[in-house]
Amino acid sequence: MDYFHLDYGMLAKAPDLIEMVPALQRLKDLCPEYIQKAEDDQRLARRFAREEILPRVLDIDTRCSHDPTYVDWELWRKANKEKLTVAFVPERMGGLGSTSLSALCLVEELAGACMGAAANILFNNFGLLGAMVECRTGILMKILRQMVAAQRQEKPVFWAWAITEPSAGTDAEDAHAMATMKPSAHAEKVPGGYRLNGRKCFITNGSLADYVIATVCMDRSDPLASMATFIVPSKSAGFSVGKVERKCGQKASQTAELIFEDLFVPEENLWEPPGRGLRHTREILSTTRGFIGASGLGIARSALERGIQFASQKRIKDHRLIDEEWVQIAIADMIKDIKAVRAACINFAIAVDTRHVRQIYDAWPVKLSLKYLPERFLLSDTLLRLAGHPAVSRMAQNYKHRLLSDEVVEQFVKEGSAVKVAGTNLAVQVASRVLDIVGLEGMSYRYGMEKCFRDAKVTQIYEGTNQANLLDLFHAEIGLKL
Amino acid sequence: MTATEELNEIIEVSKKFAAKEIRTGALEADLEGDTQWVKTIWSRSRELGLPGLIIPEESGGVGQSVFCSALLLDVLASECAGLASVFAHHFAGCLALGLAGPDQKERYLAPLADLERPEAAVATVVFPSSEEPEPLCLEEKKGTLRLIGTSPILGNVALATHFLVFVAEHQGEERITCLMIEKGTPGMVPGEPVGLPGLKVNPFGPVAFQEVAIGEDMILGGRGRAGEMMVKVKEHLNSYLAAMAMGTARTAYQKALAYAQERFQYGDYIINHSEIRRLLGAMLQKLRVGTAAYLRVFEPMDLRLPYSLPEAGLAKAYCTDSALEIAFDAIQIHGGYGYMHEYGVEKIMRDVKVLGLIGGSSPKMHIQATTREISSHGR
Repeated sequence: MDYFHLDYGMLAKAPDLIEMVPALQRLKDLCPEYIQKAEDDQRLARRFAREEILPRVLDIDTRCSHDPTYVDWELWRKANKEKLTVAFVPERMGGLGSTSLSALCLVEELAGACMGAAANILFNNFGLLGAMVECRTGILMKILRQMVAAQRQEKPVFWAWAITEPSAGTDAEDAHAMATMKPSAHAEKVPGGYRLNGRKCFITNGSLADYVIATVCMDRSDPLASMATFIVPSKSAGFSVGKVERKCGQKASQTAELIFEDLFVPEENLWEPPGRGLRHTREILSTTRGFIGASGLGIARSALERGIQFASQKRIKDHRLIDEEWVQIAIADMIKDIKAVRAACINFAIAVDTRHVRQIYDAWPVKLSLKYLPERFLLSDTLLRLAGHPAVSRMAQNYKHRLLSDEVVEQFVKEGSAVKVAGTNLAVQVASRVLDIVGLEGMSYRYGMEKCFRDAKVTQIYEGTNQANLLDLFHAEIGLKL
Repeated sequence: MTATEELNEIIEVSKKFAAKEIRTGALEADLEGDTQWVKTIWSRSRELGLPGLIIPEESGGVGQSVFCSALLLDVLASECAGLASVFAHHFAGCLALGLAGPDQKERYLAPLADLERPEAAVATVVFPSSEEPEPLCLEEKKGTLRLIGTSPILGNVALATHFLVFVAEHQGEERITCLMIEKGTPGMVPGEPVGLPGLKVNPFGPVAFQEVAIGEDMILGGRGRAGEMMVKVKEHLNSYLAAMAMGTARTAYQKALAYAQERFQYGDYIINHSEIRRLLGAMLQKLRVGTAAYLRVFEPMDLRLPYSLPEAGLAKAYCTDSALEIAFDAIQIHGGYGYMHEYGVEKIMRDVKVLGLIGGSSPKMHIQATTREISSHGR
């Protein structure tokens, strides 16, 4: 069986963003560059997924089943060469310069090929995302330079975001819950910085991370008022990685337990002071949840498109499986859901570009600098010093606070939660339903559909369980009016 | 001892056996699909006579009913559906041997019940299918009957010693012949495991028959006369799958119920959240209704009810679909822990999904049910 024989979906060679979401044509007329960038990123991700990820995805999954710490570094280097590892870094500073919309295309395409590999490649950008939301220009510039240097030297710099604790999953993401959570990790003030103790669990890329952004409370009896955010270099004394989990799916992405034992964090690595940690987490969640929805969309689409390839070749007596009416109705029904969720994802991503933290790129000092300053100056020590100047940092933070009011953050948590739940539920439903169509033979690991089934389930759990997302949605949409 | 007391006794014993022998090793064995572990458990189960449970006493078995074997599978599946699936295929094979004549029973059925044999005998069953590139068929060649083609994907391929093969004389023909083919028969080549995500200790795969010469003694019940038995065995296998789905789901439910009472979140134990109670209640509903559905398959047929009892195919579709939903929700209640191998909940999800596809997925069961309805009542 020539499995991928139909020129369709993620296996189609030409990008089809406008065909996928026809309303974007109007936007393309108005802002051609903006849509062009999304089409370019989609094309890049599609080609990378088809040529580099798909041929090796089953092998990686099998290897990771035997050894959860296995990483296919060759794939990572190839992705790095394409600058997928520095997607959010502006183009003139050496990155891919992705917008939210174009990053959404990256996520959908790469997650479709392999959600685990996508996490490995793209979640590198977490550090930058955190810094952007934080908007301390000195730190932001430092991270940008570091990521660009690492990309050029082909030396991975991994960032991990450590929120979840053994006794507190969703509690660490919500104000009502955090007030009553029982944290295991805590920090105390010591001369020159802070001392961290405790554990974090289920941390994506935690075992690979060079830097961990950790939310840790100062007072275990009052986590909400004392939650702070720290940057912890993984080389620090007192930092260690516990077990790397054996998971059901998404095996290419490592999930690890992190242990802090009398870990000293200097003052300058305090990102958000006590009491601001939750707000920082909410700011991050307000952009990331929508992208988890897009990951779900990618998995759903991958399962369905694989199913279509299979069913169009599988012969039963005198006809193909796909010739059966019930199969056609089921496929169309799933395409209908995928279209609806994709439209919601695109809506979310464009909103992040226009109303969320990415507006920083539209601020005139940033815009002009990125357009006219010589490239070597953009990464120069002079600019770093300038960015690190307290006055500049203050100015940028003030600007950011105006952009990201509480209302904006909560609105995006709400919108993101809706997209997240829709996309991840779709992933689980479609992956399961496709297996019903293709049967035991199509369920063989070699067709990749069972992998989609295994990969899908956790998307309903991470970035806040879907129940927590729905409660967020309720509170923001209705609760505030009650 | 009354029949009911006997049944209760068997369930009690098998519960203890499952908890003692299966529980500890099941997760470890699932990691790499350890068939050696299955062999060990199988030989221990022989001490209780479990492999011979439905083999008639005159052939050395326990002589219990199909109903009893379904209950046993429910119990075994509550610890490991993969292991239970080995028994299910074996029992289906034993049922097919009901067609055997006296000599054939002596030769084939007795070893399956024999507890003293150095190497355990395990059966499995092959049904005709039109979905293979070269479906199984019988062919007369130079005066010898030969079995040619490749079987659909089936369980127990790696373990079985006795293959009960239902085959149509020609593609699409209704007359069915049942053959008993022993492991090692020239021309019989077990295929590579296809690599399913669940029931991993029982690797599924096809079996190729390359012009396997069929002697008279290998034909059970006469040429072309096994159609009725095939339908019966299929029905029983479906009821087995339904029972296993419910056994597996029961464990998922119990794990979720226990975890919800331990896990503190949002300022309370999560069991005290109305949404979690609703979710658990919905799981329990599916569990109870599904269990009732598969038990009804075994109700006495001479009862003149004003309605039809669910046939095994529909019970299987309902039970496996429900079990999958229960497994999804059990993982959800466990949060991130549910997705980790060591908690044993994600394994249930993988196992149940495979159970649902054996013998055809639910949409196919639904189509078949309607086809049966119109053919039995006329258009």
